[in-house]
Amino acid sequence: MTVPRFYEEHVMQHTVLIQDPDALIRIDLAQTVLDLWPDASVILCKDAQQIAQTVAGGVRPGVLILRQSLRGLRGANLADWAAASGARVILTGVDDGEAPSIASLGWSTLDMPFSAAHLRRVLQPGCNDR
Amino acid sequence: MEQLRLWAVAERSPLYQWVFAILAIVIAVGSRAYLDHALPPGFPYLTLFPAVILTGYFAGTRAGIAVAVVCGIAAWYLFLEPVNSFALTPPSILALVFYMFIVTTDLVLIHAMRYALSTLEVEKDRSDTLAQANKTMFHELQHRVSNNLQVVSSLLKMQRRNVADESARAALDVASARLQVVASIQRQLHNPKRQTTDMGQLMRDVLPEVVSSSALSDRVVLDFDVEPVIVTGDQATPLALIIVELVSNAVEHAAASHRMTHLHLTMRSRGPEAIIIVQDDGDGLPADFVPEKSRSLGLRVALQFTEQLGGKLVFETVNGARVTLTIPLERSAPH
Repeated sequence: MTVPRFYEEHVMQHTVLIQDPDALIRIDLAQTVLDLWPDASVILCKDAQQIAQTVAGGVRPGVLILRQSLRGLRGANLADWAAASGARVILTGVDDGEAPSIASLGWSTLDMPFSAAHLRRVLQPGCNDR
Repeated sequence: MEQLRLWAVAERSPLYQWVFAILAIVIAVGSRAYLDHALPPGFPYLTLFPAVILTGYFAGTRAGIAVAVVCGIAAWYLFLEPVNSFALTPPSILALVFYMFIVTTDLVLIHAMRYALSTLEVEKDRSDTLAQANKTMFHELQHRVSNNLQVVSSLLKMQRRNVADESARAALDVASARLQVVASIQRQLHNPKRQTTDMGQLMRDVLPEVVSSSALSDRVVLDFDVEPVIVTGDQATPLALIIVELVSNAVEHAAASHRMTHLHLTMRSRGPEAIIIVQDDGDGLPADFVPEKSRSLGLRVALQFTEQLGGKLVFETVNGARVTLTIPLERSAPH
């Protein structure tokens, strides 16, 4: 797990939490985020347990990029937390038929394999904020 | 009918069987006794047969046998001449034999039908489980394929970040773009029920990204005149890669013109054929251009895949460079 460059008690708009079980994909996502958003602070997590540890440490990311389906997120009791966190949520492991439910929550999906353009598109509002 | 089937295959408790059998006997014998004076002679079992059949169907064979035996004895005593006795006369023997034959036939047929329905129910459950397992395996396979494509894509991108040479970077960009196309088709074919792809829509989704990922994207305008071209899963990947290569090639040659290049993609489905035209408004093809002798990997890929699809690729200079691809559409893909 990478230590964030900074964190505060309030929601950190510039902090991106990336969770993916595959180290290579985590790093690629992180580098692509930093290419698009050079001063972002990126936290890398392998699984839901590491996310829980990170959150317990007081970190409140502004963007969550999670390799989870909505079903998986609910199973890990993370869906309510993600919804309440105020963070922008991007799911990369979506199951068939989940897209409408995800959209109704105001969340986004990112198809794998992703490209920088794909990621830019889902991060667009955040990139404009910069 | 579905509810009748479910009642027939439902597991019944002993209490349910006993209560059903006793009620059936009471109602059948009672109603037969009540109707005794209203009926002409010769109908001792009129209400008893339905009681046996309904009990056999709704409460099981054992309860049906119990009802048949008790009703038979009751009919013998109450309704066969001489009434109120168990006397055996030739007509009463004949009537009892007739009764036993009918109820035995009924119960055997009902038992066989219930057994067949129960077996069918077990097979249906097994088929449902297998179908669910297949669906789960298919989705798992698709997730794994996506994951593997992502790993390859990540490796290419990481390699690109560590390469300083512009031509090497461009080559890795093209490789990434090809991978994205394959991944897009794989996603389109993700649904096991949908094994065809609308190539027109796919190109609308994919090509803007292919152009924008090029270093020359600010000098290229891409527009579409695209009708739905439905192709099978087998045709989708090679056809998409051919179009991507032709467009990438056009974008690459836009560099030479040092001015804005307009790219126009036309796609038509005409009966048994699909016609795809990539047109630019550049300087056209070199006078000595022979596609087969080109050293461009993209063109070689396009030519090879065109041959694989049984198609034809025509290069000409008409208001710029124009490439026309014609391929036969497979029958399973609706035109």
